[in-house]
Amino acid sequence: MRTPVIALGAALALLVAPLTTTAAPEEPPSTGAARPAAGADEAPPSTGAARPTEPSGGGGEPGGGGEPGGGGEPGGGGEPGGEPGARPTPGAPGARPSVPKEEEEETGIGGGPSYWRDIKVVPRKLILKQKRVELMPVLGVTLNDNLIRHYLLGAGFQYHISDVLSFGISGHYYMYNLTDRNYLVGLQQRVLPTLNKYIFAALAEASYDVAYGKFAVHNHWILQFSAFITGGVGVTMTEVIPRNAAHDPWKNYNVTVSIGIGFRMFILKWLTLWVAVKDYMMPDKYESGNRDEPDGDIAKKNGVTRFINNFVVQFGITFFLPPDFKYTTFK
Amino acid sequence: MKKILVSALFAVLALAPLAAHAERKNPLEGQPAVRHKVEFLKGRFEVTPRLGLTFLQDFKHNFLVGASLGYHITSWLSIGAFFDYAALPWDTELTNEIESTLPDRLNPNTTVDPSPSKRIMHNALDTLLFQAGVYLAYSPWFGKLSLFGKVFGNFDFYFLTGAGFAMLKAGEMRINSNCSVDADIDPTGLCSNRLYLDRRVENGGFKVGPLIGAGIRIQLLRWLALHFTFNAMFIQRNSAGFDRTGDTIPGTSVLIVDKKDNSWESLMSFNIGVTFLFPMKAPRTP
Repeated sequence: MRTPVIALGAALALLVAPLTTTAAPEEPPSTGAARPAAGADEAPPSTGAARPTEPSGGGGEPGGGGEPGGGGEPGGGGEPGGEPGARPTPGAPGARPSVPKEEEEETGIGGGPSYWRDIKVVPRKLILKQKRVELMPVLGVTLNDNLIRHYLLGAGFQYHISDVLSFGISGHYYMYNLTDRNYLVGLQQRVLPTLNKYIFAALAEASYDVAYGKFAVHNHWILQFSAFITGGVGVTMTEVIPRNAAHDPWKNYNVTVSIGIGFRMFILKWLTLWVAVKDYMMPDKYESGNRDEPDGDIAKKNGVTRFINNFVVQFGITFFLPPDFKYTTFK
Repeated sequence: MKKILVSALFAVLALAPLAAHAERKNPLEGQPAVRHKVEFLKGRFEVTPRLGLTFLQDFKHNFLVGASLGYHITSWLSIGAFFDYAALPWDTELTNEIESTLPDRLNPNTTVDPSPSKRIMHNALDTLLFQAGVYLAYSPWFGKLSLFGKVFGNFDFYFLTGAGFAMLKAGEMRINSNCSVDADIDPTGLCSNRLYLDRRVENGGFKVGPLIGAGIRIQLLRWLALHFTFNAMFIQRNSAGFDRTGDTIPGTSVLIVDKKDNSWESLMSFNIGVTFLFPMKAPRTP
């Protein structure tokens, strides 16, 4: 009788042992405010969640021991922090897993130990964008024409089908002024430049977030950001500025393809600041060098088509609707 | 009396939590945003070999090869210097456009039509030989990012300001240049159709001006970073090499090219480099 009891006890012990080993990290996460001492590596792991040594060291991985509250950053909106996914080394619950010296030396690019892959760079993003609408007033200036500078005013509308991918439309109206170089080319080289002015552009665009991160300002305030690439297709309307004021101008409607890269800083759950550089590529028709016919239609037929890269820097604020959302996961 | 004591006891019990609540404060108040931060910069030297391109230039772009040096006094303040050799100049689209419009030869009467010929227009342009600068950099932001959710890195972003220097090679049209550069040469080898210009100052030389810029370092290792920099210096130059004020020698139609024809122009460049940080070991903050 005694032997079966001992055997049963041993079997139960074997079954329970793995559970006790993994139980620690599955305890509910604490809030950032509740872990004032976190961040100090020497502090006992009060939550039971193991806090591994940073393999990269840079800036302190969220929830991993770098920042106070293990992810519940000051100024971070008081959101729950603490990474439930920070796994301890098997067999050492609640303890800091040792990291090989070589890994300690790395900054984290390329991965690192497997448990680091479970830790988000930004736990609890400030903004979740999925299924939300983004309204974007736009200001901007053209970059790459030395003779004529355009300023633009417009707006955009994006629908985010996921947290990284969105589709939408945008449009802007251009205003222009001629630069000093335009005047000097006429004066110094005795050449009247051939110029077109942009009137407006309207495009259907897609945007994809390629990078997400956060930064600290003087190690005091933490802000979150993302970098995105964007592309689209649409139309740009341009108008010839005749070299001879007595000649008629004409308008062009140019099929336009845009590509760009941008940076967005998250301020509130419904508000961001952004800046982007875009290249609006299009074929555009200019006056020929030897135009002598005043009629615009005839001159247009004799015009010269060139491929244009119109680089524009744009910036503005964006508003997300609905203005609030709920987190559905810890991360 | 008993009633008073009971009331006082209730009052104390009722107010005690409020008093305790009033003493509570956010334990994170005044704490640094990041603990155990690796001090990538503080007290370290950096050396950055780099490649670059000028951009938004009127007449000539340049491919740059150079290096920058820096010392980080604190984690947010550094001093530095850079030097970029202009290795490969090429004409901008504007230059090509102007050149294609100009005549091959000067008008026989340049007082009536003073348009330069293609060759003369090109000969008048200055060319960047090198640029350099000394600066103070302010790096208020550091952070980390994930790229496609797969690659992770730390970075810092900085602004810089200081003094910029540029050495420009003057165009071929010099003060005492012969007619081979600013006139047509007829088949017999003699000068003809010379432009009416009195060149008193050449458009080359050493230029000094204010410098501004910004950059970002992405740490690959504790001693190695990718480094992107944007610089803009503002210098007085006459890149086209012709008169812009319209002043002439009294009683003649000969235009004077002098210092008054200079104007403030920006010399902008974008550089990509690899930064080595010394000492190679980076400490952590408490």
